[in-house]
Order: sequence, then C-alpha cells, then structure tokens
Amino acid sequence: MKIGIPRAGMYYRNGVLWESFFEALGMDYVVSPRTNKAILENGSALMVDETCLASKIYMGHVAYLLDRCDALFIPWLSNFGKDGINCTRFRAFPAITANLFREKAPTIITYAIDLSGTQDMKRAGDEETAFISMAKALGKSKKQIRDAYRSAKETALNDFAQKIRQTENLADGSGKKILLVGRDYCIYDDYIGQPILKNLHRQGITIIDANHVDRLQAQRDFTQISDGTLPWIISRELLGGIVHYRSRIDGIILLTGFPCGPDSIVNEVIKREITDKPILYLLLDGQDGLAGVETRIESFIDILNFQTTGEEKNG
Amino acid sequence: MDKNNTEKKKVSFSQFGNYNVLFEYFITHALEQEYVVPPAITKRTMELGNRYSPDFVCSPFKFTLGCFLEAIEAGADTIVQVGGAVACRLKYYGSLQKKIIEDLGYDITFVNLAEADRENPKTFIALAKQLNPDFSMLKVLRTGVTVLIMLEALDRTHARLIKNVGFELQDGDYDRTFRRFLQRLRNADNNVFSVLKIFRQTKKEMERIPVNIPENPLRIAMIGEYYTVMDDYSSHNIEKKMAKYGMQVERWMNVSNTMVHYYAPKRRKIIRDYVKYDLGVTTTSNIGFALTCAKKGFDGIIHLKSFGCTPEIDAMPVLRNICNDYDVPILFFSFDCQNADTGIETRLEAFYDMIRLKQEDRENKKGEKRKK
Repeated sequence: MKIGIPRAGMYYRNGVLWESFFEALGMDYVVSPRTNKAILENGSALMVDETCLASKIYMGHVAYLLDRCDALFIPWLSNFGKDGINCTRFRAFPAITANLFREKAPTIITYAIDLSGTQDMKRAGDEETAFISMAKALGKSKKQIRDAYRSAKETALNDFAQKIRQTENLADGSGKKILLVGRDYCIYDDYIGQPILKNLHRQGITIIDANHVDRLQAQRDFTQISDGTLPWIISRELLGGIVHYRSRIDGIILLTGFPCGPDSIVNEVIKREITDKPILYLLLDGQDGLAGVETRIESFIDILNFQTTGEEKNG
Repeated sequence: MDKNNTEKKKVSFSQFGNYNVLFEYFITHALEQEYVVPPAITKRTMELGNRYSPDFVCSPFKFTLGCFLEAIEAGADTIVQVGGAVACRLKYYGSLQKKIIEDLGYDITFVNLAEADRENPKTFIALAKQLNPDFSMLKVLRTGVTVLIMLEALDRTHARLIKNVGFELQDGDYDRTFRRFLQRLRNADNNVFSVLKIFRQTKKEMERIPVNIPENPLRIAMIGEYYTVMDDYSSHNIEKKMAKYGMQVERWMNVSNTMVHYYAPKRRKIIRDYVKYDLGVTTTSNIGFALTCAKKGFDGIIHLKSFGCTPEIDAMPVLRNICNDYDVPILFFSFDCQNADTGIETRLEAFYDMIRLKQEDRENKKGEKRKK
C-alpha cells in the first residue's frame, strides 16, 4: 500500500514525524511536490470561494495525490487539551475530502487527536494512542506501530530542537532582523510565504521564524500578550515566539493567507499590544503578481533602516 | 434601599434574536442588577461595529461589538460577552472586544464568559461575582430554573410563529401576539408556573389567529451559522421574507435545541454515511437536520452564514452531496455587513420560483400516474 501525504497544512508541523514513522514501518509513501500553480488552481476550483488560501492549497495537494497513491493520509487534528485547539478546518479535512471525491471513494487513513474528549471520537486520545489506532488500517501490529511512532517522535523532536538552535543563532547574530509571524504552512508554502522570504533574503534581511520557539515555554509566555482565552495552539506558540525574540529583532511581519479565521482576530491583538516594534501586515490571497507586496516590503525595510540611523544620531 | 440602588451595575449584553428578554430576566432577578436593553440593531450599529473591528473577522463579531458600544452610550457600565465551550472564533471574541472598548477610552467592566471552564464550577462563581460580589446562590438557582423554562417557551413559540406567519390572513397578527408574549415574559413572576401559564395563553392566542395554510405548503429547512440564523437583523429578516412567499420555514437551530436537547452522538450516527469524522462546532447538528429534512421530502434547504465562517464553509460540500442524493434544492447565503436587501430578495425569489415549479411538476406526475 502506497500512502499519499499532502505537502500542506499540518505537514509543515508534523512532516518529519510522519515521514520517519512510515519509514520506520518500511511502508511506501509519497509526498506531494511543492505547491505549484496547477495545485493552487485545482484546489481553488474544488473548495468554496471563501475558504482560506491554505485550505485551497491543501485540497490541491489532495487532488494531486488522488491517483498517485492507494490511501490518503489525512489526520484529524483537533484538540490538544490544555495546550489549545486547532482551527476547526484541520478536523474537517477528512470529511471534506471524502465528500468532494465521493465518486472515487479514496481510502483515507487518519488518526484523531482530541485530548479534551468532549467530541466523543472513538479513536480519541494522546498522540501515541492515536497512532496505534491506525494499526489495523495500516496492516501492522500495535507493537510495530508503537516502536515506529516512538523512534519517529524522537527524530521529530530532535529536528525541531535543531531548528530552534539555528533560529536562536540567527537571532543572536548581527544585521537587520525581522520576526516572521505566520503559520508554518503559510511561511514555507511556495505560493504564499516563499516568494516573500526570497525577497527579504535578497535585501540582506535575517528572518527569524516565530514558530521556532520552545513550545512549552511559549504556552507560558503567550499570556504576556493575550489573556488565557486564546484558544488556538499555533497562535499561542506564535505569540510565545514574539515574547521570546522581541528584544532581539528590528521589526515584525505578520503573514496571513486570506481569510484565515484565527489570524483575523489574533493579528489585531498583536497590532494593539506590540507597540515598540514596526509591524508590517501582509495578507496574501494567492493572486499572481507580487509587485505590490514587494513595494510594501521595501518601504517597510526603509522604515527599519531609518529608525536605526535616527537612533544613532540621537544616541 | 436607595443606597443599594445607586450601587447597582448597569449590565448589558448584545442583541441576539429575542434572547435579550431572558438575559434581562436573569440579570435583574438572579443577580439583582440593572439591565440596559441594547438599542435595536440598525445600520449605525453595524457601521460602529465595522469601524472598530478587524477587516475580515466574521460578522457576529462586528454586530456584537456595535451593540456593546451602543449599550455603553445608553448608559451601560458592564458588558457581558459569551464564549463557552465552542471551538470557533467566538471563544476569542471577548478578549479582543474588551481591548477595543478599552482602547476607545471607555471605563467599563467586561465580563467574558469565555473565561469560565466547564469542568470547574468555581470559574462560573468568579464570573457571577464580577456582576454581584454577594449574589445569592438561592436566587441564581431559582431564577435559573425559571429562565430555562422561559427559554423553552420562547423557542417553541417562535417556531410556531415562523411556521405560520406567512399564512396569516391579516398582516401583523402573529407579530403582535409574539411581542405581547415577550412583554409578558419580561413581567412574569419568578416561578415555573407563571411562565407555563404565559406559554399556554400565547399558544391559545396563536391558534385563534386566522390562517390559510395550503394543502401542500412549500416546506423549507433553515440551517447555518448560530448567530446569523437566529438574529433577524443579521439574516436580513429572511425568515419573514420566506414566509411572505408562502414558504413554511422550519428551523431546528435555536438556543434550547442546541444547548439543552442536543445529543451529538445521535446526530453523528444519522450522518455517518456522509461524515465519519466530525467537522466541529454546529456542523454536525446542521448536517443532521438537513439530512433528516431531505429524507422527509422537504422542498428546499436554505443555509445562512456570515462571511468566512470556517465550520459552516466546511459543511457545504457535505450539504451539496446530501441535496444531490435526495434531489432537494439548496440555497447558500453568505452575509457580511454590506449586503443590500435587493440582491438577497432576487436570489430568494428565483429559489422560490424553482421549488414551486418543482412541486408543480411533481404533482402533475402524480396526477398522471393516477389517471393511468
């Protein structure tokens, strides 16, 4: 059985875990390619107009994989207990996929994360229990799954620790540093964040990814910006990232795919609470042509430069 | 006594359907504070909300913020926002709205029910104490029971209203009776029997209203996002508009059905052919109701939501499949704060024409079969 993993959505958070897991099991899998125009257009045509850009891209990847694998890997990631919840769309993907491609009746392999237990999902539980629930669907024994999960989890944790170390080094280094606050599936997508990152690199800017922060620490830190009612786990971590890197950066870019539900509120909170750093708010809708965005980035960098020279003169 | 009166808080909650009556009753009877009825939603409310809200937040955020600002202008010094156990943006409304109101320079108490934790009753007590530091538990429980019965009475009476209002012979009979009913609830004694009495009385009055219901009225199921479905201003009064065309509207979604009678596992079982993995928030109940109505042979389904409502957007592919399978037309509306009434009416009219023709078609076929 060949498993298809869409390179979108939670792949950017859990990709290492998933790939090492299937590798450890010795299973055949395919990850869809980086987002291209066809994938985006395909996804946009499939989804309701007002769905967020990241979801359209996700469904584009699913459509790409449909005829290229035997089973789609679409986890149901909903509730992480006291750490917060995911945007509801990440629990909707299995059902949306099943309904959009009903004629083809694709096999969907999924695991459910619902630590609150309120949704009464039969397969709910912590991550390990959730992975083990896939044993039957994958045709492996529970022990095989558990061992594969544990080794994969270790690889994933090491990989993430490595990313944090790299980002810390960048933050400690010299040069103009901009904190990029956006969901990782937006930042690293070729049709949302990547062109902007390239543009920033070209201008010699060091990019600090707010996602790369100790997640436990972030869960404590985010309350410095918001109150505890902030429900979304990723938003909490991003706010924690702002708190952590705040003193070492020159400015902040908020990167959002239109119309992201959580970001529609959280970005406003950030804008109202963070007043000591210049903030650029980039809202991307997947339209061609980056000229407008590039102009805005350039003038933002001008502001950062102007601020520093101004400070030097005053100092 | 006078001293106590001057210390009373002036509490307000946003406009939301007709539920303000219940909220007012609870605040004045259980927590013994004054209640400021927020002014009815108008274009100005919407503009106020729009001006201070983030751009593409869902419209209930804008509506409730507008209501809060107008209530503050009307003298409220304490605002209550809901939150609860929902998994959508609503849970984070209060946090930002509090900030926006404070940044505008208003000095108010903002009670955010999202801070309550269902598993920890102490959090509810802490919130009640923000409204009245020495509230009486006895009064809260007693009024709680009354309000619960009121909720049931209100929702049942309203369901009767929207089912029949389109067929009344004299315009405005139902509305008048309903308004009188709300006024009676407001003045009701704090016990179950007085509420039941009002409920029965109104029921009798409504039954007496002359109506002309055709033999096979067009039956429409109304589903969608919580706030927009229940609030007349947000939904552009669509219930009444449909009624005018002679469509009989059934809407399962109301506060008592979703909060008191709803049992999710049952609905999940109903829809398991379409949804194996729950989509979240109100979608399970909406899809379930749509499927039940489709099976019963309803003539159409109408789905309302505010622009960008994540869970309801996710439900749309499922609803389309259900409607294809049972051959039921569905009309999707997505409202932001800028819709003009005419566009909505045009779409509604086209939808009405379509289902009416479909019904005629069906009846003709039946007739032909009988002849054969």
